[in-house]
Amino acid sequence: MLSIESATVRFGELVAVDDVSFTVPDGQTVVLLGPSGCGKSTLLRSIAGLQPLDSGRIVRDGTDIVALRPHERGIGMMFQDHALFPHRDVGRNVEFGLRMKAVGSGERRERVSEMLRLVGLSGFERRTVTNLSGGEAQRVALARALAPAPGLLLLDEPLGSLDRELRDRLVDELPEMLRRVGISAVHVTHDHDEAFAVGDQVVVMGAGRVLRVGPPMEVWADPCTETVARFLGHRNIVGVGARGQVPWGEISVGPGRVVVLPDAATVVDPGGTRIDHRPSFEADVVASRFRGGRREVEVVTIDGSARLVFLLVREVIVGERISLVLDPRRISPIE
Amino acid sequence: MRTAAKALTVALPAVFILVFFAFPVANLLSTGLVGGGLHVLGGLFGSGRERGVIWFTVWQAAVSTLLTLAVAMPMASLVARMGERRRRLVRALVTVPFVLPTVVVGGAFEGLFRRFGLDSGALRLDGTVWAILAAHVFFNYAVVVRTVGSYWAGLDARLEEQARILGAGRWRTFVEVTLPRLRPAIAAASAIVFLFSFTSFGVILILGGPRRATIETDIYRFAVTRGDLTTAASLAVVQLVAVVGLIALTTMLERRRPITTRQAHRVSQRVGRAWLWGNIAATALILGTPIGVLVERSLSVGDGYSLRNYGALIHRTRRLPVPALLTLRNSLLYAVVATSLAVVVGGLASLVVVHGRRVLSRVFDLGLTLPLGTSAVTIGFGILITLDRPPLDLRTSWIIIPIAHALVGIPFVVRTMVPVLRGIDESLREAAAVLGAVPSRVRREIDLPIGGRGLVVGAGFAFAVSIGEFGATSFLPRRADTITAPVALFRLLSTPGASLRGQAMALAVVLMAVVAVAVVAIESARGTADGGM
Repeated sequence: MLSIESATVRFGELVAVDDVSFTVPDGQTVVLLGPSGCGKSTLLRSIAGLQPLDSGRIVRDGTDIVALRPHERGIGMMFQDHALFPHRDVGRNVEFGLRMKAVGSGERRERVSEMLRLVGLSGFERRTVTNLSGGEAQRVALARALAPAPGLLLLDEPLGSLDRELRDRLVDELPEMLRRVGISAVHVTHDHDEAFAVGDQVVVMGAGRVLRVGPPMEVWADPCTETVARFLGHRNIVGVGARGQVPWGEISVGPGRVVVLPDAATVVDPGGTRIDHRPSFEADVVASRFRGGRREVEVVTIDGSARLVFLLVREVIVGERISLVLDPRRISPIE
Repeated sequence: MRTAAKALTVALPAVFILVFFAFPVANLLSTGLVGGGLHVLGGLFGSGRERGVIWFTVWQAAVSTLLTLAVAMPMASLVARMGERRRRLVRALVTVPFVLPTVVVGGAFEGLFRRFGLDSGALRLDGTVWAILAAHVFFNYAVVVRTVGSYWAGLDARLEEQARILGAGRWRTFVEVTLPRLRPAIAAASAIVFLFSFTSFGVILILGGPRRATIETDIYRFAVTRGDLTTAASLAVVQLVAVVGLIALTTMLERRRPITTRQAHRVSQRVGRAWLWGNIAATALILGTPIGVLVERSLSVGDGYSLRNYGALIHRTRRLPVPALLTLRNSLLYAVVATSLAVVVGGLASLVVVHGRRVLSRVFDLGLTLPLGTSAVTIGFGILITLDRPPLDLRTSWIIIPIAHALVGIPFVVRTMVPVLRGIDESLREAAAVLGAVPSRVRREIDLPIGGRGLVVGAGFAFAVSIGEFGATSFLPRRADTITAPVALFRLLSTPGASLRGQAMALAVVLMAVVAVAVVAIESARGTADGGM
């Protein structure tokens, strides 16, 4: 188990990482999620030993490893642009860490082919790295990082440079490969879809601080603060009065600010049966977008007081006036 | 152990440069300034002749620079837009003249003038400033094509495309978008060409005739022909001050040069066929004619063509104490020793420049570039008057020749190594460290193999420089058994008589062939490593 305790990194006046703490349980993947410049990559480099901490501890299995230099930590890392050694072929990239541990050549060869099989590149040993495609380079980098069997794997925006399709595929495959090896990992990204897909735990960072920690579903449904909600892409953030008044009527949660999750709304017939006696409200459909295989509908309440975005099951057309009810369980209070 | 290795990395180059460069040059300076030389120095500027020499040195260098730029820029633009393979070929071809021994270039142009009857009469070029300028353009063409061309190739071509889309014509685009961005490369190339022309020696000695003198040839004339060491030293001081000023300026300009040009978007633009082939033809004519004529002259024996001139190289002649071919053996031996020295000293120094602390890095950077600009004659002269007494009396030892050659070659090693080492992505070193490599192992696994290509390139240049070195060598021990091929070539060239001239041409061709092999080695090793020069 790895725990980061009050880690702080300063660059002059700027506090890049500000008193950050979290733990990585064995075999789990923790995702550091945040906008660029939030300090997540700096923190990752600190865990690897490439960036000294100004204060705080990094404890692995009960021992503080802050004083250890990068080559003494036994941690694997995948760099943003892969950092494959251009003067070595694929096989000799993958075996690098094993050579550093003075592993014999026979065992090395075996381990290299095992690793390449794991990442789906069997037989690539003698290929030059400069001619690999983005996805192949990605896999070689993963194989190289895993070959010496590190106790922890760090991934710095590993999918950032790939095109969409490949990215989606690796988002599925990466956790699977890591699970097969049974390794703990810290994965840095600015993409929340990627974070939710690969992480067992998500640590949302902003301006050097931890804003929210939790399992992906929980963080998404209950972002806790407006900053996190906005960063995760929530659009329906509204103020609720003391008796549940919202601009277009009232709802059964509050008071305070809340985030209405996009799947909270259901279309009902204006005159038809109500579900659970929840209040319904009318709105005009102003836009309908097809995104990621789902229909995202933007509505404006008829008094024009609020603009909301929902994922609706029922098909609607732009310009149509519809009645909606909200599921209070899909509305979360935020600070 | 680690600290010992580190100390050696710093100490070895430092001691070498201090003993064989800084100390002799400083001694030369003090001779020029103190030993009654201050008076002479004042006299230099008072004397009409010396004022003329200084003025001539400056303006011929300036005009050589402008001419070279004008002639070479079209080719630089083509090189920038060529595919990688073609670019390498062109770069290799234009580099041959650059590394040719100056004596060979002088001989080639003299042969050219004779062949076309330009050595006398109304169209006489031999012995005129035009001959000197032409040879300088020939010699420095590669500097502009390589420096500007490589830099140009690294520029983001989308800016030009944007300008064209916004309605700028080809010429406007070049003037307003491309040229301003090329400024650092043009400035760097100009400085180098100016420097080489300013301190040019062999070319001026051979093509300028007895009456054309520059500071460099006058140092030689006063020191060797007249034995007036004080005046020679004073002239060397003038030269050194000018050169140091120029180098300081160049270093400043180079520091501003962006290093990250790796991810430039390069779209292979279509180049007009006429423009492409016209340029290639012009280049072939400019660079090929002197070389072609040199070969033709070497085979020409009055009534026809034969290999007789080459055959004569194994016989003794009255101007040389040993057969010409033996001098070539000396040159090769010295070149091997000089290259090894330059690679070790320059390689270590490059590591200090790239990884050392700030101040140390700067001192090394400047200290190791200085010999490039210091004229070879000054180096040779400094060693001659300094290392002539115990504890270090090397005046009569052959080893002093490769040492002097190494001094001239070291800057080439450093200048090719440093950009390559600086260009290594830091994340490669970090990746190696994270994978368990201790810092010294990182150097061995990452810096050395990647920088190694740069080292081969630098070694190739150092070898070519040593093979052709003439300025410094002309001061050093001139025992019968240590004479080098360029010195022998100069003696043959400066002696009247058709048979010796034919031998000279043959020797020049052989020297050229040796150098060409070095260039091919340079270019094939270059690969992705792309240093400045």
